[in-house]
Amino acid sequence: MIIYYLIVFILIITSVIIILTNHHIIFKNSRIGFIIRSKTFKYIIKRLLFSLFTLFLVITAVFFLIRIMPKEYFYTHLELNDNNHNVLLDDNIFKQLLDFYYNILPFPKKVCTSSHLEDGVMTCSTYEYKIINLGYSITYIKNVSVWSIIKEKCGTSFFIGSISYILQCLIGYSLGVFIARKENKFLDKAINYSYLALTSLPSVIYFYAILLFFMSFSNLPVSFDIDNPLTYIVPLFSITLSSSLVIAYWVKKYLLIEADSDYVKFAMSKGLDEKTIFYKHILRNALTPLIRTIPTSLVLCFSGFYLLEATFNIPGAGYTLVNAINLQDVYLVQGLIIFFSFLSILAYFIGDLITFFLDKRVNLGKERDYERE
Amino acid sequence: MKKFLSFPLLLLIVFSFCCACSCSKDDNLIVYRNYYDQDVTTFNYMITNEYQDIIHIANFVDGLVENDKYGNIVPSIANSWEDEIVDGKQIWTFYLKDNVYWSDYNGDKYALVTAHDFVTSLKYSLNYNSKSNNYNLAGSLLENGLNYYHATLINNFDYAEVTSTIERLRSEDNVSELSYYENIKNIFDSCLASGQCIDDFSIVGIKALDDFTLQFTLTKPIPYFLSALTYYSFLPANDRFIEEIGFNNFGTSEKTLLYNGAYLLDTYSHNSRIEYIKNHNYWDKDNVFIDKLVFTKSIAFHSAGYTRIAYESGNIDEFVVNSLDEKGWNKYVLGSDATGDENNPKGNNTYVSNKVNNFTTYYLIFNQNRTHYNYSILTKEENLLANKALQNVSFRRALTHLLNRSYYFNNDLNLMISSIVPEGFINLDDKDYYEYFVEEYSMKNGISYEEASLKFSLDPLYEYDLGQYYLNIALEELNLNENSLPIKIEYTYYYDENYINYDKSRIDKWNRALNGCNNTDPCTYDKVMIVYNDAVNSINDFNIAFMNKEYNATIIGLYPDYNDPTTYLSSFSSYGELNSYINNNNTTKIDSYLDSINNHYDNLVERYKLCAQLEYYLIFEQSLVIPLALKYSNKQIVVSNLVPFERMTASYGLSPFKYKYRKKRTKDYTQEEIATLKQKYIEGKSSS
Repeated sequence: MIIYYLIVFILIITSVIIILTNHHIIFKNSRIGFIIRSKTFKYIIKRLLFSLFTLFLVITAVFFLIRIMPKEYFYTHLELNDNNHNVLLDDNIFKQLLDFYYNILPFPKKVCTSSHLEDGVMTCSTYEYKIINLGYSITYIKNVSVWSIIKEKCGTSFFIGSISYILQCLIGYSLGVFIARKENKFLDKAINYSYLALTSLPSVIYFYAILLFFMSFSNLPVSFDIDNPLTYIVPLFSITLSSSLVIAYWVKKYLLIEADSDYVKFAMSKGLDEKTIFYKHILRNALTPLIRTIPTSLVLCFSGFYLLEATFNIPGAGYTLVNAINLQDVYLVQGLIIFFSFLSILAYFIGDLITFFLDKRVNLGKERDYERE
Repeated sequence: MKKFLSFPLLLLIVFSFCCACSCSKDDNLIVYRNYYDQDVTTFNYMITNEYQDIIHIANFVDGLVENDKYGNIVPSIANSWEDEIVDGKQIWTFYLKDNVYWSDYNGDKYALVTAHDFVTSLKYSLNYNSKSNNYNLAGSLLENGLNYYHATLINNFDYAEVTSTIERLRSEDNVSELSYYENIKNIFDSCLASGQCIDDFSIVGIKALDDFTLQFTLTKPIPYFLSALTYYSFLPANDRFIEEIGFNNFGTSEKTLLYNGAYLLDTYSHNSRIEYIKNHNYWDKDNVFIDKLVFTKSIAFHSAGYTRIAYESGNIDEFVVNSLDEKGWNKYVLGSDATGDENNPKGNNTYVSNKVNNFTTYYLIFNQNRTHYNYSILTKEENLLANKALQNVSFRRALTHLLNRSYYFNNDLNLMISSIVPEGFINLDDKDYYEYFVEEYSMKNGISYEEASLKFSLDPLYEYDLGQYYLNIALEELNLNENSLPIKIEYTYYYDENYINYDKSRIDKWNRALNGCNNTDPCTYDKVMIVYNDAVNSINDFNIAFMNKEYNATIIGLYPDYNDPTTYLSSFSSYGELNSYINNNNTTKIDSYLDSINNHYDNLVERYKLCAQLEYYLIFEQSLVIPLALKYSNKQIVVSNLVPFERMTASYGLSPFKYKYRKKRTKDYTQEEIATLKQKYIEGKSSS
């Protein structure tokens, strides 16, 4: 609680400082004033506010989309005594919306965490303060808080996703660089064709083919189990294989494009040897657009990969979302979608910032500002 | 060389995985492993009625009684019991063991299991406010059980508001919501009429006389009450524990559950793994032989031989032979000399086991009074004619004898049933109730029992000549003019898109039989015609159409609630569930049959004979229903690492899911040894 109020207090103070600095009232000539007044800083603040606005739109859209579903859909699957009935279908939709915002807005609110019967009526015995209340699952795992499900499932997804992403990068980038140096050799052609084959093949078929292959030709367990690292091998292999080929293909592509540019010819005419040109100039320029996707992809690992998880039985977030939709677990669906959209907004925000810091060619201000400077 | 740096790194990661897994091995524990299909929704047995939850709960919490190896009901937490009849009410008194403890998830003793715990559990499950789905069995058996439930329900609604909502929904023609509110209004009306819905738990027929004496009061004498006590509706729950952690948190994880059964829930990882560990405070721990059970989620898409491969590579300890898996079928059923069959499998450690606890049964039913025509391809006149025809007994009998049910099965008639109560559902002194029914059939038809049972092993219903005879009588009785023929019966059913074609092709065959054609000639349908309802073309449509009874013929499933033939038969009574789908007005005889059945609560032989008479009356005399199939085959071929026949057996309740008594085998069992064990089991059963 105290920490929460402290954070809010700090936020208010910072915004006041920013406003004052922008009006040249404080930090008139100091370095801090210069940073705050810079275009980069303004851009970041603006981008942050836009992100929040997008999140608000997403939350509202999710709320209404779930309630647009035909009501018969609920009634045919609910018993007379199911508890989601009153909440979802009886109340006025705008009252529901306000309740929803109240629960989502990040400020501490009193939430009942345990209740029991007293004289035939459910009475609350313990209250706790929660910053964000996403509600409780109604059919997926009854009465478990949505946030704890999200934490558990996204954790698993991130665990598998991040390991595979690291492997993909290691293999993909080194392979890409390797084949770019030896264009039109056997490996290059092999990767070209398999890239084409894999991208044109539907992922379902690809995953099942892998599954079938391992089930018939090896004793490796295919059903994922977090405590048994042997079971990681098949899912990791299947996702790493396809994605690292994709990375290798694009790394090669970018490298070859860069190799054609003028500065390479200039460097060559200057007499620099091929190796230096390749690693010092071409590689650095070619990889910039690729490297900036790394943090984005890592953040997006939290939201999981539905097909991978469904095929290999990984209890991850993507699989959970699809199951929750099938079971009409409204609160879980809401919670997951909001969390996913928060993640992707965050991921693209980070991606933009990294591009800006890595690539000197990117300019955030408008053309006009640029000229004036 | 730099570019190769990534490969050693990769190798390092892979090796570290392998090391981690080889380092963690269980030592000296007897472990049983298997797959599970569906995920647990909750372990809170006071609210759930889902199969996937109950099969686990059975191992964690014990009830008053359980079944032994031979299916007899034996004491569990109760030590002994007695029953008496006072003023037409049956009073059961149970004397509990005084050394049964609740354990928490660490295996530490928490409290004694007392009679109050049984009262607490029902206090929650019979209360509408706890959102329980598990109130029906206890509610209908115990005195005032449903009255209390309804009292807590109507406290949550306002009568005037419900009536006005119903009127609004009627004007909007919103059928699905309407039936929800009409249901509530009906409860209101019946409560106001009877005045017995009292919002006070003390009216319910369960009392703890002291810490170890528990008393149930039943509205009427019920012979199967002990078998009902083996269900999850009568499990105990500790009041203090619920208050500590909160009812809404009860059963959400291993930490929020108390255990008095053979196992504790060790790990519960949703969608991935469930592990049990032996409960060292268990009152009967000498009969628990497996120390640890591990259930892993099976993958959703797999080949037919998936479980066999897992069994052979040692990943699981038990599997059911799939008839689609040719390799497994040859190895475990046919055997090396190809002499085995599904009743006598030849493989080692292979035996036929009764699949338990799923007696969901499908019937073809006819609606005698259809009132809605929103989803119909027939005109109103045609529908009224169908109603009129279906109200005629001879017409229904004609349908029973002319509709060949074997068209539903692809030559595999194992699932087909010819009785309302399926074979194997219940037996009395080793005589299956089904045999009483076959006896009744042989008596009514004047044939010997052997002839009758031979007929039942094939198809006793399909008789072409008899059917045509009744059809002609029916057409005479109905006295229709030429223009209104053929009588059109609309068949409404939807399973999925592919199923439509199957349905249409069998309807075509039926129509030929009804109009006296063989299967090849061109045929004009001039007497009776069954029409497939094309207006229903999604599962959602079907649900709505079904709720409004928009069919002349459809398929319906029944699931038994307790271990007595009346669980099926009573739904044909005037207030029965199935009758609301048939709309049969002529129920006086059925009701009087059921009354006299209920009066024979102490003489089970007489009771079953009466049930068989009623069943014969329903199928062969009134032809209200055509039995179709069991949802699942009740026999399966199991290959197992457990000793055969060492387990609790019952076709009902929680006992079939318990792992108490089960042992891991130390050697292979050949078919001869399994036969000896079976013989020994049968001898033990007859002497028990």
